[in-house]
Amino acid sequence: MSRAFPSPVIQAGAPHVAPPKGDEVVTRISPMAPGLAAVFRELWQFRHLFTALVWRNVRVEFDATRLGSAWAISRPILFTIVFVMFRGFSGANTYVDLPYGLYVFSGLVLWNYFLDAATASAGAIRLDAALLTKVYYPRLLTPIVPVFATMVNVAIALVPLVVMMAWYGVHPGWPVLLLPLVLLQAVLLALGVGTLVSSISIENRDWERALAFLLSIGLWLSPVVYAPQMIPGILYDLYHLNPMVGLLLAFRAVLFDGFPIPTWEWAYSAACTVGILLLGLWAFRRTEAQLADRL
Amino acid sequence: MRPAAITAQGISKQYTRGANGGWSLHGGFGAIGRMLRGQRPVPARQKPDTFWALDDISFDIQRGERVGIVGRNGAGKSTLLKVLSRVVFPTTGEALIRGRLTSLLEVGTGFNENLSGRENVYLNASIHGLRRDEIERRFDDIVDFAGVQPFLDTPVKRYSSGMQMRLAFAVAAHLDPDILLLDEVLAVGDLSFQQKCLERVEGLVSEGRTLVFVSHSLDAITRFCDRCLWIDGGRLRMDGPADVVVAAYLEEMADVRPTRSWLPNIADVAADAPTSENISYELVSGSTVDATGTALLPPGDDDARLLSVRVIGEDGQPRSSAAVDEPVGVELTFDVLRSGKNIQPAVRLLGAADQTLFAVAYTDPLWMTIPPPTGRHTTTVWVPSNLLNVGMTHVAATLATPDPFEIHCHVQRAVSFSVTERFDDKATARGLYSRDFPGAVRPRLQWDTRRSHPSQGGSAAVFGDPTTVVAEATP
Repeated sequence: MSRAFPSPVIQAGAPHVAPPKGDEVVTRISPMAPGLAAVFRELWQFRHLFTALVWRNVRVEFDATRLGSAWAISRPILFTIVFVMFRGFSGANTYVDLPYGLYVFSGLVLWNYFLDAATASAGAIRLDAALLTKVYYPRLLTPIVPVFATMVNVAIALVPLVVMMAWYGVHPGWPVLLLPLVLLQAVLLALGVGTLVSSISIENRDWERALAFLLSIGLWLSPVVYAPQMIPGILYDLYHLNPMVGLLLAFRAVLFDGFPIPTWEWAYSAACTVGILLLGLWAFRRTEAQLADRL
Repeated sequence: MRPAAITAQGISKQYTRGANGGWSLHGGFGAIGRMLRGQRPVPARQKPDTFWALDDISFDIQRGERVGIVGRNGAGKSTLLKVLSRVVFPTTGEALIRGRLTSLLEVGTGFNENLSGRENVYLNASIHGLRRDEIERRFDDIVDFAGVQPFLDTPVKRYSSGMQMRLAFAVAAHLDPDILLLDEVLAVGDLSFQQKCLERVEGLVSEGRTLVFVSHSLDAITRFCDRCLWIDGGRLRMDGPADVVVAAYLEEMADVRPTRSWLPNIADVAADAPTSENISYELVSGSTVDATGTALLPPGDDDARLLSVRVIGEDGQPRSSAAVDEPVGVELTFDVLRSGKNIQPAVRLLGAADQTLFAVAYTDPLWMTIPPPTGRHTTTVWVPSNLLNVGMTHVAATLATPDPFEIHCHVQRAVSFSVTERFDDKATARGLYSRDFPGAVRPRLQWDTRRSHPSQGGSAAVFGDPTTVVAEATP
């Protein structure tokens, strides 16, 4: 057996006890998941990890495929072209007052964000399994990180959106100041759906598939490629149960001057977002205690 | 007295065997319903097949204490570390951790192949709870330690596995916690990597950090830890000084016995003058034949039989472990049944892999030339201190006649003991080296150093001053 002969090492000085730190952390471990206040305090303590993980997600997304940023732009553009052609060939009435391409593109930007963020958030636990079973950090970070990381796609897609607006001569008005609010709501709604689905699908992927299915149907049940006025009277109210209706309309209202602000739809949508988010957080915290056991 | 660094009270962890728990689509609506009604989610099967991975474990670990955890595979050691590091929740029980705790259940947790070395250092350190400014302060040290400067901006997937490992450990080594939990980290990587780990752990330990260390390397545990917990079947089987617990554990696991006796009670045998004619071992050993009908007798022949072998300390008491710097005795008791032959005992010391370290012939000046009379003889051979290396040592015992040569009995691995060393024992053959010390034995020998050519300035500085010799030889 070949064994490197040890190299000399200076002995450390006489053992000394590390000086006591001023404010010492005391951690209590018990069978119960910590309370909500403690969860948020911890999320704040781990904000550096949050940044690092968001950066990881963004880097991996935009590195794995060299065309990363091109995909973020080209996917909604290609879809927009398809829909514009479809409408042009068929002469279908979509009840859209705006230039149709702009309407579809803006809808797709937000819809794709929601689709990607909710899907990534719901599947994040499985992706982070190696981490979750080996080291402690606030578990909530796992579904939170992808909904923020996916926002990069929106930021990138805003560039062609601005170009299109200039092309069509559409300007934003003062409501553009509410854009961060709309985006925040999209983040929270995606997070709510993501935490809800991930907490019921840790071992069983059925629920993730169900989510993918619902989201692919959802494109047609939301005002992405048509205006809500297209929906006939009896279904109109039912249609508005979809919280994405208010959100998509609000997104356009803050971007395009003259697009009516959908006060009631938006209010309902915001209330729904809060409800879904609370439900998701609550479900997630209930599963948290068994998370590492069941992965 | 300051409160303990870790206080664990009645920690228990229940697991369910087999697949369950996931909510299927059809069961899922029921599960949501139960959640909405405020009921606990129930496993899919009504009678879950459960077991306790940890069962009511309580202990205190004081600040600066270095505690090893031993136990066979599946005993619950890793589960205990996972509970203490908050990766899993206990089913019942509570623990208090005072101070900043870092757990290394695995080296390189959270490394992402697509990120560069630099990004992975930041990511990995933040996963272990370091703030950005803390990482920046340590960054250069980490990179130096890992030796990957030229590749800092290369994706880690292009690194060799050795480089990945070095980088991962470099981060882990600079986390600087109050309490460090280590799980088998040292079992990963090649020998030089393990050495590096050991040196770093030694550094942390000498700084007075609290260390909790799960390892199958009992040598490492006796070296670094002053206390040891033995977890067996999820329960705390033993809690005490590291060498005592490790010895007890070894005795059970490796069937390592410090004493071996072929008679239930040697004192029962008529001790005055046993000969082949008057002794009946069958009477005292209880069962007289084994399954094949062969008579169960102590090893030997009609000339001599070996009755017992014991490892003893200087106090004459049986020992299953001995420190490097204390002598160990091997005591043989045998009956000479016929006079006339020069029957002599001999022992051979064997390393952990049964390789012969050395053999010891009988050299007792009083007896070595005289054929022993019939009767019971007890003899002890002393292995001096600072001769054996750390680890398991087995003893083979022999009764033989040198001339004409005849072996009356030979028992391989008659008894065994472990040689242990504490990291702060400096007066051993180890000198100032902190790494694993090579060799089957490690005698502590006399050195004589003379200073020559005192007029030549340069070399005189090296040879003349013992303190600079050490300093200059350090890389």
